[in-house]
Amino acid sequence: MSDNPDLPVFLQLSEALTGVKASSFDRATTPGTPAKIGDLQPRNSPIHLAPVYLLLLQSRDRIGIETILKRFGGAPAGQAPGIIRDLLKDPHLGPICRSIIKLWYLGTWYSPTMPGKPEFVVSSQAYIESLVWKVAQAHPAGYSMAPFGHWADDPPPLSEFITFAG
Amino acid sequence: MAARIILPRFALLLIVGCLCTPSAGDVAGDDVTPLIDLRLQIPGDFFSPAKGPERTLDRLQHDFDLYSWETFVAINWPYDENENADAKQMIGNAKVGEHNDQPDHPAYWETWRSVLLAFPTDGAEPDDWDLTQERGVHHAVPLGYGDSTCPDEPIYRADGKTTTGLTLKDVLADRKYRFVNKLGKMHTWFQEEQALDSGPLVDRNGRYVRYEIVINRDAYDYIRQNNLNTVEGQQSHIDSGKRFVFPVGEFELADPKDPFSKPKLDNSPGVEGHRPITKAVGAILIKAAWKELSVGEAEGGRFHSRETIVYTPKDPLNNSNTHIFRLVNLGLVGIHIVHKSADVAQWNWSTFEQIDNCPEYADRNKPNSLPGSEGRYNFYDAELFNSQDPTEAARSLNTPPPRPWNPRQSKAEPVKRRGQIVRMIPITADVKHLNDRFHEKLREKNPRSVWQYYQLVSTQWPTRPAGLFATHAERDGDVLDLSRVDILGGPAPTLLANAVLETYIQARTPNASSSCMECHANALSPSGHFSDFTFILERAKHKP
Repeated sequence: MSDNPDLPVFLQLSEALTGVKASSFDRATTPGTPAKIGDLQPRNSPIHLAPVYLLLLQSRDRIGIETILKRFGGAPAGQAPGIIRDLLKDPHLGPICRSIIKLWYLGTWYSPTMPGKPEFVVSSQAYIESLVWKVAQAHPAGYSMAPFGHWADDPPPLSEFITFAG
Repeated sequence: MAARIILPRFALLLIVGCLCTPSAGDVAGDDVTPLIDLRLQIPGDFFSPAKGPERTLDRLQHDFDLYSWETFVAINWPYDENENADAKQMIGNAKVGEHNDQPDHPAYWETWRSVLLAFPTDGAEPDDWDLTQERGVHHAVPLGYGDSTCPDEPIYRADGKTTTGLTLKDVLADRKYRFVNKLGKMHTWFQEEQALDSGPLVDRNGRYVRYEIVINRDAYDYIRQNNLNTVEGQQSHIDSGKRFVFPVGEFELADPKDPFSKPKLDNSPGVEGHRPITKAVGAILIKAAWKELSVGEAEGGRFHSRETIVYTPKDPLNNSNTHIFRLVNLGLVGIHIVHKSADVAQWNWSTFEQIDNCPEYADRNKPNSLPGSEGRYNFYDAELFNSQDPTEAARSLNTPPPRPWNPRQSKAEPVKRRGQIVRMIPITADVKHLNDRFHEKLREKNPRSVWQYYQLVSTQWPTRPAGLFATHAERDGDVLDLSRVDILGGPAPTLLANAVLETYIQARTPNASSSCMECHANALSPSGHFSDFTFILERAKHKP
């Protein structure tokens, strides 16, 4: 796990952008509720996608991501939706935010300056853990953690795949 | 069964812990969980004294690794005439025959039953465990396709040429002998085992590594009592609404009336309340890898060794039309311990190796630097690697010998066909340190203890363990409730390989490189039902 000090705010930002719980930081969740595989940071996850994504963003536009984290992290509680709206409208920071959304949902890096063109899949783990599969109540091609024969049944409810924020 | 879904205690503590801390990145320190005296009690379950924010990923990994070492010590404990771990003895310092202070001795797990005994080839009911003990039959003679034996079959020496004067009847009557045969998942008659599809493993002496699977009484009785040794028995089990769920190990509870109470701590000397008391061991499956020891290796005292009957079936595909039994001194080089426990429904996966097996990839240019190793590895030759053309040397790493494979031959395989094995994922600093501490403890009991020459590679465990059905009192052994979208539960570490058991699939590609849980999550019964992370139910035969 990364010791990156920006990680907690990055996860909160990611939760606000994607609408998906970042469970490690959800202190309000009732103890006993298991983390879902679609959560941004399942509790004690050995996958560690969040630090990888943060590092990628810092390597591509350090000033941009730091500005976003500063604005989002410094905001008073309850103002997150407004700040997210403002960030998305910002001509420089908005595209970075959209790249973050694509990272989580698609596991793929889209440069903020070329938003329609995927540059690369971040890693095999990023591909597997992409939120798009969970939201679709499906699994990536060639990889499933569901038991043998699951294709014969209707998929489990969305709530078993993912916890939405808010 | 009608039941409510609950979480294991371990999961609740884990979650509460994580709610209180944003980071799972703490490095487990030296003494975060106190070591206790070496003892013969197998931990019934995973236990961590860490609470709240202490329960980080690294801390829990550390405590799982500690659990693995305690289990390794317990299953390798000397045993008595009743085949129980012997409280009067000490691991690595035992009385064997008339000799005291023996650094090596038969290990408790070796009294368990070969998986072959649980699935008789004719589909007959497996013998009662006690009956097999009475008869001294712990290992079925592992016949290959089309093979048959007679009681007067000769037992050859290791060279495969001269006879020992013993017959099959003699060695079956003498309880000290064990049988192994398997070479790897190669083809037809070898298809049983590990090292996996790509081929066998040959040591630096040119000898083929052999493998075996044994199961403890809880696992054996579960198969026998539920008639799971036959395809029809398994189908009947499913038709009656049951699933395949092996018995779980568990601790005694501080309040036996409250199924969610804390485990009862053991306050006996040497433990002092640092570990709970085991109530039930649960199912344990062992996979072991053995190599033939040279005289020098045997005298070096760095291996746990057993005189073993090595059986090589006939192999018509390779123009070998006779089988052979050889009496060989085998040394243990690798062992998986797979244990199902109440709080870890996806099983605890521990794996150990002999310390001289191979270097880590980064050290591939260097000879073995461990004291007493004389620079040699069991499965690697650094001098050969350095003397080769770099491309050829790189290609030789973790590559099985080309066909034909002939373990029947009396001569050793030539140097170029011997394994050049390296460890692709390094053992973590925390595990190395834990290994050092256990080696020190073993040396305190006997400076010559062979067990100090074994190291934990790692322990794989589910970070999102499955919930349990109902309460401990009600669940009647049927406890598994795996998530329908994620039966694995987030294995940590995500990949794990033993260099002599998953030799050729060590790498970092999910669902392709070695991960105990990811692979075993695919285990099914012959009828296509999930078989609780073990492939052994595939061995079911048709009812006669």
